Amino acid sequence: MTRSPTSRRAVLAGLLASAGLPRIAGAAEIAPTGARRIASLGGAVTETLYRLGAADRIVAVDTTSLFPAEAMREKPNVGYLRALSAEGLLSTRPDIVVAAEGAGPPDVLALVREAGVPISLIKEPPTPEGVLDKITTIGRIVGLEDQAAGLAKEIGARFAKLGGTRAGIKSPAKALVILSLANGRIMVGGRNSSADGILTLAGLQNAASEIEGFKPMSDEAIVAAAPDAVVMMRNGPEAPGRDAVFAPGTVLGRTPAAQKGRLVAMDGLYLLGFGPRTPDAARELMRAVYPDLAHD
Amino acid sequence: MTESGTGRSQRLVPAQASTLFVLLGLAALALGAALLSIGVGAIPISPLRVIAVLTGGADDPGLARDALVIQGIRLPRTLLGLLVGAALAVSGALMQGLFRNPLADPALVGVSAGAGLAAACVIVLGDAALAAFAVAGPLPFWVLPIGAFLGSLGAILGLYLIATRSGRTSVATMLLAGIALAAFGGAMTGLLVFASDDRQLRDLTFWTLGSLGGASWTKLAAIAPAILPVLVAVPFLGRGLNALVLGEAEAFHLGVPVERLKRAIILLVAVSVGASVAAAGIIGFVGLVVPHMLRLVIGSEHRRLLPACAFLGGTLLVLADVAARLVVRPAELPIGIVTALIGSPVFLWLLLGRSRSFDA
Amino acid sequence: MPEPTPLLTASDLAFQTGESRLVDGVSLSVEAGTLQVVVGPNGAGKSTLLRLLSGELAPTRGQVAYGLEPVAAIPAWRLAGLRAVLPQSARLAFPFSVAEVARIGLDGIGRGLSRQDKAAILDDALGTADVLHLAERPYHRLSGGEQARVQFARVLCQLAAGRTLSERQVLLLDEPTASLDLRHQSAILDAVDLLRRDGVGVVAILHDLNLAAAYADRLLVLKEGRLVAGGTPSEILRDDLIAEVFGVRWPVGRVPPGGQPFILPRKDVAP
Repeated sequence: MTRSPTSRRAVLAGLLASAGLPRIAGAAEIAPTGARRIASLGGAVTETLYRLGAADRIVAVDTTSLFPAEAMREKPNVGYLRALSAEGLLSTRPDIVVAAEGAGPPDVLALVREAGVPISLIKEPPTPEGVLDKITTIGRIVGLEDQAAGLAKEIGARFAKLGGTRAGIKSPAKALVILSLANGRIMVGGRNSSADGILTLAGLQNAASEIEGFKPMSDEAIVAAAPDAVVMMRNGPEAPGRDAVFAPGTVLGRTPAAQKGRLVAMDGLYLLGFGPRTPDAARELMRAVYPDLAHD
Repeated sequence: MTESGTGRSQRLVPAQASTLFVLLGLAALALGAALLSIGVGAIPISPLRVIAVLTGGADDPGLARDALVIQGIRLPRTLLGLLVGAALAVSGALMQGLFRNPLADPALVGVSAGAGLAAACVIVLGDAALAAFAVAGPLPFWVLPIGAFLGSLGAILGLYLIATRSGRTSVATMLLAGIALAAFGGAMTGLLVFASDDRQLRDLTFWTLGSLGGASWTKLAAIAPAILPVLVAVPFLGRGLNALVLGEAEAFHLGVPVERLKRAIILLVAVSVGASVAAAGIIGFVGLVVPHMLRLVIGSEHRRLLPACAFLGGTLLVLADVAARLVVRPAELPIGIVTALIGSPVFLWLLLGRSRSFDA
Repeated sequence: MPEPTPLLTASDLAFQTGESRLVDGVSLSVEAGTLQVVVGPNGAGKSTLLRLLSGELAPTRGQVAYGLEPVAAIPAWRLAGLRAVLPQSARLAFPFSVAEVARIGLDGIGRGLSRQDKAAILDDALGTADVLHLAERPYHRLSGGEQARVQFARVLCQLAAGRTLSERQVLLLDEPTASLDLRHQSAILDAVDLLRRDGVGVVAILHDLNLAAAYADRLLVLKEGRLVAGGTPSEILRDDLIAEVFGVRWPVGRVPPGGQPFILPRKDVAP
């Protein structure tokens, strides 16, 4: 078994921490030089690391790391991002943990830090700037600054092109992003959510802007919001069927979206992940709702 | 009167010897579970190295990383499991004895409902509350355990006040009010769940299923003062509970200060279960079933039952945690799932075996 | 020689819940070495009276004193050494063995006793109640009569342990013979009689007037919460009193003529 060259240092730091000495743990800790083994937690984080060509260095992923598909297939899975296990994470012997900012629980993160493994929490604002910042930050943390700069440039260009197309929209349509539809509880993406972010990028108005974050929306509020399009998550190969979603008599069946038959089903992480694929996702969404728009 | 016994006074000596034997056996079992829990985990460490670390080899630089895992993660986690398991099982037995009801457990007197409601409030409303007070950043991590602790304490003390009239506590009223309170707490939690977003819902679900993850010496030091009193009190409560088995009036006739005993038990259980829930979330099943498993095997005599519950409760929880850590490693199952998965078939098996051999 | 203080004195006891007076103006005293039997129809307040005497219920009027001390001022643990109570029937919340149930009477009160002393007391009590052969059996699988005997053994344990604290003991029995066969009725009351001879003051509720006549020094007749008569069995068991208190016309006889009174059930033929 190979032992990481930094373990001695890590141990020392851990012992200091367990001795109760204060320890600075910034949001963007830089891995010790030569950090080879990365635990990558969070869909967009893993996606970005793969795009940066760091796949070989990833030693662990979490259950939200759904893209690319081989990530989950080839790397040990340490569980759900918000319910991690300290020893489980440490057993993959990472030199650094790069995680989306929701990672937790906090006491587990504290234990991992005490064991001398730095954790970098990556902010995830749902904006183009957020995506570019994410790419450069991750690149800096894992020592792939050049690749990150290149990727950021490429993604930035796509955002710019997307903006150009968006300028051609005459009258913006209203769309409703439905995260889940279960037991009559329609969970939608409101303002300040990643759903709101992607709608903005696709030149759409959020029909659920009355709501903050991902929350259930009442039937009457949905009818009142009168969305022109409904955007849903596609989990697995099965896409939600238009006939089922817009069945007559249901709430969604009463919306303008039902009359126009505008149901867009997209992969959840692709649509809401705010990773390198986001400009493509926004363009796909835009194309589905504005089929007549001039897309170069 | 017929004289049917010969060599009579020997009769009690074996009974007491067997109590000692049972308790020593269970203590050995708990120790074995603890060693297993310290010895295994997602990080493979050979037993020899584990022994070397435990016997003070932590200064050896070759062992430093293993020592860190064992001393920093597994040891506090194992101790937390023993403490929480013991407290839950003993509290269950105390509640059953106090309420003279084999189905009583801390959950039945609103503890879980109170803790669950408080946790749901913190998880669902916490961020909004922070925003309202214009405080930046996430909620400090200690707000959830403190909220859960206060929630369970508040529930059980509220029930106590409801059920107490002119110095006498009616355990029947308390039990029924507990059911009402649990239903109310469940409904309020449901309301919060309905209003929660996806992330909050997941947080709440995971919390509700319990976990010993995140155990640290700091956490242990924070909850031990709340959990230990109930365990320390065990040797002093058995006699009173035995008398209570006959009835409250009979217990009074036998010299038991019944009202004081009730107050003491309710307070001890409230504080220890509150702290357990705060440290490990809601772990069902242990409080209800461990006392029953033991009753089926060693009887209900409380001076034997209560310490036995402490040992077996700790053992069961630590073993469940070992399973939770290993089954899907390097990820981890919520421990509440494991306790129910292991415990309920065992309990059913004991129950069926017993009814076959004793019932008419 | 001055009159010794009675073990227990009840003066003008009354107990009321809501509108109903369950006990009304009862005074009595219990002397060492006596056996008094409380008789009366259902609902006369016999069990309530016993609960008042035991200190379990606080009277709405009047006072119960053990020796010279009001019962309310005596802490439960000390009271347990001064008096034992045999309830009508006790169902256990959890399965205990017979020996474990009887032993509950020893614990706490007999704290000063050695292990050997406790074992001896327990075996004696189980033997006296004729349940020694059931010692390891689960209590809840016994018949009603056997359970009653186990409870009696438990009370014997309490008295024996209490004896180490105080010589002045009172035994309160609520229908000790209710579910017993004749042999065990006789055995239990004989055992109670032995305790009486040892100086225990006994108050028992009995429904069987013939048993009462055979064992009681004194009968106390309770009707609608009031003490309507008190005296030796010969003084109390009279045709007119039986008819008035119990509402039956059963003749009282004597064996031998002029000796112990008995009461003979008779079919009440409608005219």
